[in-house]
Amino acid sequence: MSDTPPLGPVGEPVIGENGKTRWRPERRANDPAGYDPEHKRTMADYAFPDVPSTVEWKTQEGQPVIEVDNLGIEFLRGRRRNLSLREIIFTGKSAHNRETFWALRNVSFTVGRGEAVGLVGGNGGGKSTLLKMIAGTLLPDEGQARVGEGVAPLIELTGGFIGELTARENIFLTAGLHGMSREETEARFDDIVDFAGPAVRDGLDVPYRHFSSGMQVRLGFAVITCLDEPIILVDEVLAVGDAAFREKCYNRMESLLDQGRTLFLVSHSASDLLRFCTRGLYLNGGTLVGDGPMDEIMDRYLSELMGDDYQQPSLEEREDQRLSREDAKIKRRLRREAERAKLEDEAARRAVLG
Amino acid sequence: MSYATRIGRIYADRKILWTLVRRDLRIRYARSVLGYLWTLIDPLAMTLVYGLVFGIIYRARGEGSSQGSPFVLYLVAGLLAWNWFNNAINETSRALYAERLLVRSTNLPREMWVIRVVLSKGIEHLMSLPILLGFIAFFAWRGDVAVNWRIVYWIPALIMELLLCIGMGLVMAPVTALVDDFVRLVRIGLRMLFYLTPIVYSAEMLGKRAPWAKHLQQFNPLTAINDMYRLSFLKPGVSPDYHAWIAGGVVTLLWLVFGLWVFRKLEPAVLKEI
Repeated sequence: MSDTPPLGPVGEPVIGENGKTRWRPERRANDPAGYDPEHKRTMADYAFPDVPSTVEWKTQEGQPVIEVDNLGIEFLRGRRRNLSLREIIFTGKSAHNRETFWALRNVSFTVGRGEAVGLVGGNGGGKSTLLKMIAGTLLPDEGQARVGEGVAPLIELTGGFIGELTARENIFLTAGLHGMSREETEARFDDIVDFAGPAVRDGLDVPYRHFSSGMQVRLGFAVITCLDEPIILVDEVLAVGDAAFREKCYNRMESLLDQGRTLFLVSHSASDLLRFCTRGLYLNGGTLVGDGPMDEIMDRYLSELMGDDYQQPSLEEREDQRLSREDAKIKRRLRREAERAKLEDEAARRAVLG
Repeated sequence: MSYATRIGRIYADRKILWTLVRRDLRIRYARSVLGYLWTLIDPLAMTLVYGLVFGIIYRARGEGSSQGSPFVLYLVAGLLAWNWFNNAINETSRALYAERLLVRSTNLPREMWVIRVVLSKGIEHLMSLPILLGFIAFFAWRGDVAVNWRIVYWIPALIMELLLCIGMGLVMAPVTALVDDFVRLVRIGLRMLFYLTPIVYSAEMLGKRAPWAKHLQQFNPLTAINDMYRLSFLKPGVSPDYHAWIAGGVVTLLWLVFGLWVFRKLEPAVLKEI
């Protein structure tokens, strides 16, 4: 089946090294169809089928989609926004603090197709800066970030929306700015609005500025996640919206991952990072100090950040956490598979009815 | 990235460019009650004022000041082109900063934020051309002027002004994003340029009073552009100011190259600041 060690029969408690009951999968009433913890324990065991997607890849399979090579960017320390001509002329120099610092330096890594990468690091570590350079909205002073595929940036979600225009016009505009044609947008229009929720649907022809901030973000998320771009960049935006909408967003992101897209996630939430990401990058003071499995990177980051306040899990505990996350992931995937099958059925029935 | 690939990227994203231009026009015309009328009222009001000051108070007319055509018509032909230039330079100098949210959240060739302003102002200019046609028709009906085939020179005039505005805008936008009060300088410069361009007088007249200044003025591309617009109704005996056309064309291309170069140099710094 798999190379995970045998766990013993499901439901039977096992006592671990620390004297507590170890985690074991359990059967519950709401388990999705096809859930089989007695025989299958990893995603690989289930051998899920490829999910059809409309993404068109430009790079060859097996080639890296993001290549970051010795990347560096320098900022002025006295971050006054602007120079003033008056100052330059009268004082002969700008009152600007000429001191600079490297927000990122000597950062190199590659990311392949379908990888889900989480960026961790303290404040000022350069996470958002790195994400912006991959998105192409900041340009490096040193080295380069080669991105071989289109990018759907979930950064500053509501940046492209204009308060004066209606939500409907804004959807077409933002989708257009990210390269979707009018026809493509029309084809997805219902999806976008459905995802954003009934409150948005009712207000489609109201100027966008009348929307609550939550609704604005919903619409932004809905539009950007409908793009057919192979790389998804997410910067802390998952913290918005109510619990139900957040779960909906998570679900959407996971189904994008099912399609084999590449995800790049910046977050301070350990549970989000562990839920989506398999690989972790650890940035500290602008340099890349760690690159490995997400949970190990997370442990390292937390113990360096919190010192003695953080208790590292034992190997056994980490193994159990991994298994329980994998189990939850399997259940969610099974539910999505069921959902997809249902949708396909409906589509087929509608096609027959003509 | 070489200039060729950058221009190629802009061309590849031309659909998005049109989306932006359409949005500009929609916002402009959705917000105001008078909508299209504003496009007409602005140049008409200016025509009224300058016509009053120079046509009536200073009695500008005749061979010297308007090359033998009615002064008001001569004035309108210069004002409309100036309007496009003036609006485009004013707006492009704020193009990057005013749209910083969009600039920060999309990875489009950043030159597009400048080009899009020039294009939407250009479309407004096209929509204001009926004023000129109206004036020409009126004076033709009175028998003061006759329209001739040289109206086709409007096409090179449009192209030249488009390239000129893009070239200059590519300099204005990043510099203003980095240096706050550069906008004031631009405004003063534009006001001076208005009188240094043959709009309320003719290049001929300047040539009689100060021949050296006329040669200098030929390097102002707007001299050539105004000449191209006005030839459509000037007497067939009036020959085009080819010196101005060539000098203006060269200066326009130099601005375009300079603009692309400046923009590329300053782009990383601008992105950090906005």
